[in-house]
Amino acid sequence: MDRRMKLILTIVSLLVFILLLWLAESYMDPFIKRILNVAAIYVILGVSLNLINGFTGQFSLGHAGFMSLGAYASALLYMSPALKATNFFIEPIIWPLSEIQIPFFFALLVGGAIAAVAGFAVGAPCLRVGGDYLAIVTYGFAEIIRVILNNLQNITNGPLGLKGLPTYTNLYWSWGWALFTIFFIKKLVDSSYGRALKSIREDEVAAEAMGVNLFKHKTLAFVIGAFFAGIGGGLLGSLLMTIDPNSFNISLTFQIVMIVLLGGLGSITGSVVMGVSIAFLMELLRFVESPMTIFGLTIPGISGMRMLIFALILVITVIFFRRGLFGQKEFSWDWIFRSKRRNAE
Amino acid sequence: MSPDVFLQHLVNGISLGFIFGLIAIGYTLVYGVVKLVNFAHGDVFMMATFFVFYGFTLFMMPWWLAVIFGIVVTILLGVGIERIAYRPLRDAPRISSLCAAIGMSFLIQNIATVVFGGRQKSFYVPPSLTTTFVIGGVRIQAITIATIVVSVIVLLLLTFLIKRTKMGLAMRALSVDFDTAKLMGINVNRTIAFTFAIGSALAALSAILWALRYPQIWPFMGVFPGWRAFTAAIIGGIGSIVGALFGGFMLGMVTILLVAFFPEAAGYRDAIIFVLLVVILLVKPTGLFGEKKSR
Amino acid sequence: MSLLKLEHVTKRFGGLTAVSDFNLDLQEGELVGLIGPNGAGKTTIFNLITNTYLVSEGKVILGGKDITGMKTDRITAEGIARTFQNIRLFGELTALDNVRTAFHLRLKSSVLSAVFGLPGYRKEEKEIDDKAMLLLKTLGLEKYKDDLAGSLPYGLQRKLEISRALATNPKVLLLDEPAAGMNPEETLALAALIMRIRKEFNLTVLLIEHDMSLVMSICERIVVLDHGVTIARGLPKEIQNNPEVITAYLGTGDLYA
Repeated sequence: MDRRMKLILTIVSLLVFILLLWLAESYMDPFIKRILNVAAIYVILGVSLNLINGFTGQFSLGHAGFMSLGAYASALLYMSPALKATNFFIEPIIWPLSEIQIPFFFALLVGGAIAAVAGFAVGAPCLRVGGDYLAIVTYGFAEIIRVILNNLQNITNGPLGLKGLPTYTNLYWSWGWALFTIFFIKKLVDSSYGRALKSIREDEVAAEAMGVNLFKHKTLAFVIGAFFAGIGGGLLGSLLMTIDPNSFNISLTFQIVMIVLLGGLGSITGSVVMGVSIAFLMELLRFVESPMTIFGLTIPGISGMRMLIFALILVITVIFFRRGLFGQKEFSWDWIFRSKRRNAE
Repeated sequence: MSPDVFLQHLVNGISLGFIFGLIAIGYTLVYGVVKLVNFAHGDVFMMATFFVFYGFTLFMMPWWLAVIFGIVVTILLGVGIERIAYRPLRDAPRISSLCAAIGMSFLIQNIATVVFGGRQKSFYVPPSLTTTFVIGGVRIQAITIATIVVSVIVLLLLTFLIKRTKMGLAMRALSVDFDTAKLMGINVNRTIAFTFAIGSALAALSAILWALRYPQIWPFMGVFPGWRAFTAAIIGGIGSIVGALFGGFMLGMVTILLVAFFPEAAGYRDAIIFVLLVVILLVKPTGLFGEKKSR
Repeated sequence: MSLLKLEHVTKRFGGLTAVSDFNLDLQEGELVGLIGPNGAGKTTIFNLITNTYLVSEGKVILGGKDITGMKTDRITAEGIARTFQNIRLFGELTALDNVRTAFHLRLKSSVLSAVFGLPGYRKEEKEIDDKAMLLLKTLGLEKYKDDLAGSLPYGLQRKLEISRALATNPKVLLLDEPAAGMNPEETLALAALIMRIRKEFNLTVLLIEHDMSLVMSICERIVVLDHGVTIARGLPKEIQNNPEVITAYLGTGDLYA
């Protein structure tokens, strides 16, 4: 199949996808729309974590931390001064923040950028030492962020969180960002930079001996991953309308890690498929359980069963199906048509 | 601040430092032998308190028996985790065993949430441990002294075990050179299981001491002590027992003295410990007592 | 002209001196063999040249520039490439990608221009593709370009590792036991290959090898190490008859074992 044909197929399917988004946004039940939004956000998170964990072979557990940074930073920028004033009734918000309001899109970008900077500050020291420490340090980082958010009363409103956030997030925003994330990371891993990242995963010593600057490339993957996590957090915040320091806890990171592991470390396709599946599964399993919880994120005691099932699936996958659903395979038109032809024969 | 009060904080810091140190040794022992960050260690710690709790309330055991019961079941749990989740992946890429460890941590937390419920429970503290002694103007709780005494005894036993027994020799051999030790006929599976048993026993013991000090238990209680202890292990230099103990002391002191001198910053204590960790990684990545890499 | 110079290089691991006071002066275009019994410190010298191990004492100088303590990837960029004794390819990447990875260090385009496929990057990527294919062809690997490196047979993996090293555009090539595990015919072909690439790519080669027939047939000079100490240096003929060398090897067998 030639390149032009593939390009046409890609454009046609994109157009169909946008049409479907429009149909969904206009006619779909709000409940389903919500799940579809969450699905897109999970795709963003899964694909960006896969860049760090799957393609570069470093293991980060900081995604929830970066998300909360993105969510808080963007919310504080897109909330109106009046809304901030009503929220901060214990202690008023500090000056420049009390006046600023910028459009959603730019607020998201700033949120992502702040997450990326934090990613650099946390990642750089561990990445210099070795991959092992990254997991535990980022794990701690996510919890520390929670502690800080709880304590910075005049910036984050402390444990009260931010309430009544405007719902800017819709299917266009969420899936728009999801498509951009997929595009960006797919292009990156297929580029010369991507080969350098994968070479680090395969053999650090050899990669360095072939001239790959380990520190630069590990940090690159980590910062890009953190950026998209921040964007995902911003989108999620505006979707949930309420955020507090506990919205982004370690269970959320585990869910994202699960998306990556079940989909396959090093397969963007896998993360996309599992991101969407987990978003729906979370809802399906809710019917099994008590219907009391707030959407998917805060996990109070009663809803433990659902997470327990997920945890079991995760452990079984890790032990018995190490390569996940897709291994390192990716969707491509060639692959679809080849398998079709094989079936026809 | 009067010298009495300072001394009081010092003793408190030492006792807390011992608790962190005991948990940290669990991380360090396991890391030394199998080169794995045992993410589930903090959760094993948490489970120990529940075993004691249920031994006491549900099975109506006398308190001392509940403690022994708790330690024994925790050891079984720790060894079981290794058998089920880590052993099958021993020859797999390291990232796989790391994933398994993270998965086990997640699983245990959720099992605990479902079985024990998410709410905090009160851990029984024998009245004798809450009595306060006044020694020369310094007020010290019995539990603080008990913690120090128990820790010292345990550490002496541990030193004997590692330096003087065959099993200890096997552990040391594996941590120096896994493959060669294997060739020399060391029973790898048994030694690793034993290492996990010791690590879990230390986790159980420190968990009980912890719960006697802060008598509220819940399924996520292991996260922070576990994380701080791991930080202690890194600060001391992972793989080094003395280092783990020293790191534990350092964190115990930082925690207590911070609360004592800067109560308004107490909320940030974990953030400060985190910064400490990052600085250590930047300045002396192998930790204070760590072996230098051959680089 | 002197290209790579090692002056009084010493490496200690704790109390053990793995290499002591090692000196070497590689002239441009030379092919020098580094031999010695197992554990003599040959690979350690490679690791010291590339700063995989920190030099305890002494200097490494490349083309008049002191590169001691420079980061490994920078040293590669300066023009020293190596292969590994126990092949270290990127197993899950294709043969072509293994080679293309080694071109990455010369890439000028930024990350964003790579992601968005800007013309500058596209041109560079095209050049990388062409050069990588050319290299694979030179070593007769072109039909394996889409095979995963880890799934190639042993001999081809050795060759692929050499072509990957060549892709970094080195002045000096360090080969660590390239003939290990090869039969005599393969070794003969390898000798021819080394001579050919040396000419084609203007290389200076430092070769660690146990196969004495290979060393004696292609090396112009030989340095012999034992227990980290240089015990002899000279022309192949001189080395063959050097009593000290023979003694050093007696423990491990005949020189032509």
